[in-house]
Amino acid sequence: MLRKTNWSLLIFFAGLCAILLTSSCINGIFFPSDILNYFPLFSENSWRPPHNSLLADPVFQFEPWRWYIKDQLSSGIFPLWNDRNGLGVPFLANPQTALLFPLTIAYLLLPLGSGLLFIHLAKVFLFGFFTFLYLRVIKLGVRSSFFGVLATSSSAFFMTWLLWPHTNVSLFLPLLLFLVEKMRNAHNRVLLYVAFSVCTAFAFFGGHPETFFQVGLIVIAYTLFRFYKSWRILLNIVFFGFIGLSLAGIQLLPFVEYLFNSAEWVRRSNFVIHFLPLASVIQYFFPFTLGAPHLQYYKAFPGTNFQESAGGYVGIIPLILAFIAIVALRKNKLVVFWSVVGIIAFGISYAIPPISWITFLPIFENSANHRFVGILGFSAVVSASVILHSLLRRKALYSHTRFLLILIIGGIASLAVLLLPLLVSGIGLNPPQQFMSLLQMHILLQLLSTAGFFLSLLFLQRSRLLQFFLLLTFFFLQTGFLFWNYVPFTPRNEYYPSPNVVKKLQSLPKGTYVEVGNPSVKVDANILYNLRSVENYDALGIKEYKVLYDSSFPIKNHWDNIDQVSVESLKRFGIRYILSDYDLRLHPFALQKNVSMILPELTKERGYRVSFIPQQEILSGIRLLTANFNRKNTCTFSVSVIQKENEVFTTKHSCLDVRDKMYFYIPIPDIHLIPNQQYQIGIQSDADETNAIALWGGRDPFVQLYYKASESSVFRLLSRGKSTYLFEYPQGERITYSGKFRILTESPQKLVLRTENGNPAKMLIRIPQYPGWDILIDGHLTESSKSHVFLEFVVPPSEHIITVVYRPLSFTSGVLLSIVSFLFLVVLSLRVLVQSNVFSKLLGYLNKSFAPRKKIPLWQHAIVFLVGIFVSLTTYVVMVKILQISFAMPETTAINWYTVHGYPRQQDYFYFYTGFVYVAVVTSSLWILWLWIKRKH
Amino acid sequence: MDKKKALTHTITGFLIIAFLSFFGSGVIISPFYGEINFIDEGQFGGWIAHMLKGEHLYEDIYAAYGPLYIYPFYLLSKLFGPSVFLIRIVLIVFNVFLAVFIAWGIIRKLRLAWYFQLFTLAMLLIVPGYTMRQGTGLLTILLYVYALEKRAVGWNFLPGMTLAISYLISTEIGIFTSIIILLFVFYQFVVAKNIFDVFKRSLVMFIGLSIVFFLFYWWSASEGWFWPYISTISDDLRTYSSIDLPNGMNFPNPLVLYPRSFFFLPWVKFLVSKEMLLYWLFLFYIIFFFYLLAAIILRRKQKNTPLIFAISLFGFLLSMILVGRSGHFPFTLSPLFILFAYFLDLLVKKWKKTQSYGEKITSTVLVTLILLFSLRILLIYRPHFIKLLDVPQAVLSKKNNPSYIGNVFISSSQKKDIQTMQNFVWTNTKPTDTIFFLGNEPMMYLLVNRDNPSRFDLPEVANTLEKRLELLNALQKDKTEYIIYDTKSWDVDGVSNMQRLPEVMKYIRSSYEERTLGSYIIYSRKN
Repeated sequence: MLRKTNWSLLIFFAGLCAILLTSSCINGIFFPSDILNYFPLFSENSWRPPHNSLLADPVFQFEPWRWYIKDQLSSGIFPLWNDRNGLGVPFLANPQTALLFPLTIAYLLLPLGSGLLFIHLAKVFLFGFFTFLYLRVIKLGVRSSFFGVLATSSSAFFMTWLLWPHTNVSLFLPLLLFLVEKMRNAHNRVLLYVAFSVCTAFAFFGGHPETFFQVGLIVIAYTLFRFYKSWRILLNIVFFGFIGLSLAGIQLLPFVEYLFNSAEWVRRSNFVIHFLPLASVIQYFFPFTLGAPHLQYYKAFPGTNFQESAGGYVGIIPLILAFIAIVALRKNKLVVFWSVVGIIAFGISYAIPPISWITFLPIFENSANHRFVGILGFSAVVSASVILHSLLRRKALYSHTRFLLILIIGGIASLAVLLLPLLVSGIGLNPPQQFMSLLQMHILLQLLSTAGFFLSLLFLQRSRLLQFFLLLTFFFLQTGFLFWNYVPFTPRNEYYPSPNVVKKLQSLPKGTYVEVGNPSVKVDANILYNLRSVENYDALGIKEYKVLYDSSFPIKNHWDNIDQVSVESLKRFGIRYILSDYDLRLHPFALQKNVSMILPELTKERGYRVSFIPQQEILSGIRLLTANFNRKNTCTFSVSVIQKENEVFTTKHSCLDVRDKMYFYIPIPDIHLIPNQQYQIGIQSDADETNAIALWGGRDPFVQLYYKASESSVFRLLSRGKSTYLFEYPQGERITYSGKFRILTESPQKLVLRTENGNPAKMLIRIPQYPGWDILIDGHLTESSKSHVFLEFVVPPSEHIITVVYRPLSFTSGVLLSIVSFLFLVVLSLRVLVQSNVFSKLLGYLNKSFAPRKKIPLWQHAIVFLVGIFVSLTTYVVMVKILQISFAMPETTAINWYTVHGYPRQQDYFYFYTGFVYVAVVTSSLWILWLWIKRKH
Repeated sequence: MDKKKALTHTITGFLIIAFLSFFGSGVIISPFYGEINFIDEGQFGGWIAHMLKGEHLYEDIYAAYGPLYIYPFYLLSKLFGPSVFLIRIVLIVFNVFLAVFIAWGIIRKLRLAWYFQLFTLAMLLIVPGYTMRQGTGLLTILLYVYALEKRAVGWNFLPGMTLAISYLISTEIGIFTSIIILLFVFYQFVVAKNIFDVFKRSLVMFIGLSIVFFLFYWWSASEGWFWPYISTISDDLRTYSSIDLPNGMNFPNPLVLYPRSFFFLPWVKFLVSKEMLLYWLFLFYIIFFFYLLAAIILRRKQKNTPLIFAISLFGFLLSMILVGRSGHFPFTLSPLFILFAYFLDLLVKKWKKTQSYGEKITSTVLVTLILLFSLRILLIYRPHFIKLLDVPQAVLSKKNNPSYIGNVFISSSQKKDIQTMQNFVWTNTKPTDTIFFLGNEPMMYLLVNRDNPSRFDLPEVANTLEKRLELLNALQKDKTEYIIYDTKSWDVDGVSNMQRLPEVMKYIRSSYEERTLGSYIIYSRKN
């Protein structure tokens, strides 16, 4: 057993080392930051469409959060709170930050490019490795296990969600199954229980509670399936599952607290259930039926997107094999179990009654059930691997099996050829010709590779190596080959570049900003730019804040961005800067607000005219909503103001200047309009059907007019880019207080102010009220007014020190829970090791290796010790001299010897601890080495 | 216990008391003789003065020590009336005698030769700094080791109680002791055959701990100072482990201090300097850990190894406070003296047993090293033995001391200073008036019998802006008539309170008039 374990460990570490080496060697960043080009602010001068338009969340959430973790930890702060979004939101409590996920360490330690690549390659490797362990423990051969590894780790679910925390969690599914399976025959299960707890905690730290719930369900079902007769083991597994949850308490408790205080909880309580459209089932066979986001053409099935609908795809081959397994191995309990799991997962994902009634149960009703397709794919792979193992073991396959296989292949091919064109036309698509060719190639590839696979399986049984190679190659063509470039490598200069407007914003005094109109520095990407946004995009959001936000900014656009702001709302939220796609000093007036559909293309033959009667006297801007996705964008178009067929004003633009589903604002020189006269906005293009852009609208295109205001504006223009304006609202302040105050220290979790006032006065600090925030006046706890969404309290007269600090009880209790669980698991593990005499053996081994054959006199020990001390002290001093480490003076208000002399105290701690440990370790090591040499001779 | 043992215990106890009563220990020379230490003795005086006026610890008084360390002074002052003499007696009887007695219990357990027992007792008595703060930590360790050896689980009740008491005497000692006990408990959980037995023992210990804490909670909460206590100790722990600590200096850097000379003598002086003794201390701890490592690897584990390990770890943890507060060096030495006795005993036994000259020389060198280190400590921290000759005269003489001093023989200049201040205060203020001493002289509150308007009897501890403003607010609110600064008062770490408290000084300069009275500067409130 020990040998086997070592073998696995060897593969494990060798794999990780290889990934580390690869990550260090490859240039470029394995990250879709080119998606920022989607926004006009980031592609003002040269537009290049992003490689994959669906990879937005990693750019706007996961990477900024990872960066925040690194930033905060390097400042010595454990990030419990994010002060850069929504005027402050819990950070650790948001599991998607993956703050405690073990692979996040790589991001902290490695250079940016290497860190990102390492994390994601390691995820693929680990998922494959754990699948291999599981398939081997259910007694499958190496070849069929490898097939399973390839199928799971290159499945659509894993590839398309690779940058999401979903895969951080799901990679633990096979490992947990492996541990449960191992428990069946293990003599001593304690270490397996401990490992089960640790894996459970790690799976939670992965950062996606919904996936964690789904993985948990499968593991529970599997445990029941395996141990329904052994209640004691079953109870132990459940108990250690809970211990695993306790181990994750450090994040679990803050998460639960955040969840129940979140806006999302309220939203999902209104029974929001997601299912996939049944038509998208075709993607189990041909995932590119409607194109794919990383290809030149992509359309989504209605109500979903590619990642969701193709998430269950594992290749046609495993599906066929799984089907054969159900038929041929119907007495195999494992196949039956996974088949049942697959059927249930299918029923839940596609709302097939009665299975879908499960979703009326608690938790299901608030969960993303359609992602059970990932489980469906996994179950198909396990069944497929089982039958493949069985088929590969047979010296000759029976003729009726061959016949059955050929029948199935033929049947699927015919169905595909017949159904696919029907489906494409049925959905009402009119894709470009190039895509149709690509689709044909795709179908051909799928069918040929399936045929190739089964032919190799049937006819190459004598040359096993060749057969294995061909099986994997044909299979790879259906999975890895299709998704190999789903996530792009982008050049370093595309990693969150700083446009001029952003640079300007960064250079201004600290203040909160809001986006109006088009997304600009989309939240939470603002974290990376050290900017503080009023918005938050963390999937939960503080309930009361969200309510106030929505009621204060009721006018939103199709991006769910604020489209118009009022001075009261800006003041309420203390917003100082506004990034807008239009000139805020003008009065907007929408001629047509509906943006539910894309109108027919704008070509030379097809222009649009929208009539209006002026609301005000001077017209200064026009705003359209454009569409250019899946298009060439090589045309030009013009926008005119027409009065009685006379063009009062015309402006011409390149189609490359517009962005998909983005507002296109055209500032125009002031045009004096005659009241009560009818005017028209005319939109024309020189494009033909092949290179045209389109406009969003309802019956008519969306057109918004901007009139010059008669009164002076409260907004001050600070900067203007080609597509974005930066305004200042000078009254927008984070803290409102009638007395004098000065901020002494400010960090995300702590704010210290010094106040001075003759009378008691209210202080409003725009940090949302949330459990854990304490207000201390001169060290004494003060209650915040419950009636306000933000922290509000009365400051007594005279001078005071106000400390506003975030120290949540949920975190403290979580830490305690985690420590207790950790100690429990450590004690348990060590007890097993002690009972199995591992330590005695180790000590015996040390004694045997180091204890001299004859007694060594004390003076010799003393001399070696002295030499050790001398060597270690000398080398330490030399290292200190060479490294010349510098220490910054910590921020403090204290006056003492250290601050008077400007001596950073941490310097002493550093040298003391490193010096003591270094001297002790080096001296002991030299002594042990000496003993070892002494014994050898 | 047989009669011989009981007699030995009684005689030793009596001798310790007699020694302490006449020759003193720790921070003072003798209860009868020696100048008043306005800071170390003085803080007890200041706190007593507050408490006798009905104020509560932590709520109205900023005290860095635990309540059980302060209350004996208060209770006895209530019984016998407050005086410097009483403070000294309590310091000796409660603080040092009990602590030395605990150390004696440990060295008895180690079964060392009588002369090494005497060596340890002498060092602990003579070198200042060993008090019940370390004593309760050592007592908890001793009781826990006893409990480990006993079969009955009830024994674990006592270390639980003493652990709680050690927290209530000194929080940091409580933390250090807890770390050691937790390590032992953890080890027991790992290796014990019967895990439920360990669980039972731990539970009993926890009950002991909880009972003391509960009683303390009941007492402090009923008087309304439980939460102020929690907030003060947490503030204390935070400030002392950060850059905000009020008193402390850097750890001496030998690369800066070493002599730029090729001669032998400057190097010897450097190596035995007060600063380098800190490094010697840690070298000794490395040796102890090395010894324990060797004992494990070479399987030379002895009966007392757990106790020695616990004391070594306790001493090491205690010594870590020197990083930042190197002036507390003597405070950390008590576990070292116990360990010295243990190793001296081992080395001498080895010397006697071996025939090899190499062994004898090594043992001799190590013994000499320990003795030289101890001697150097004595020379540094006890340079005024000669003054002990004055003790008999001091006991017998008539003192004519100012009020609140009692039967202590102090110098005429100190007497004069105290009288000057007492006369000034009693002439110019009413008993209900407050007064603020800007220097670090908390004893003055007891001597002039006036209350401090703020929590800070030692103004140096109010060194963060938050506390400075608290002090300022207290002075403003109370409209304190007189603020007094003794130009002779000690500036902690060379940073005067005038420098430490700029906001307070600004207020004093704008609202008070300044004049001098002897060595005092009197700030009188402007009308």
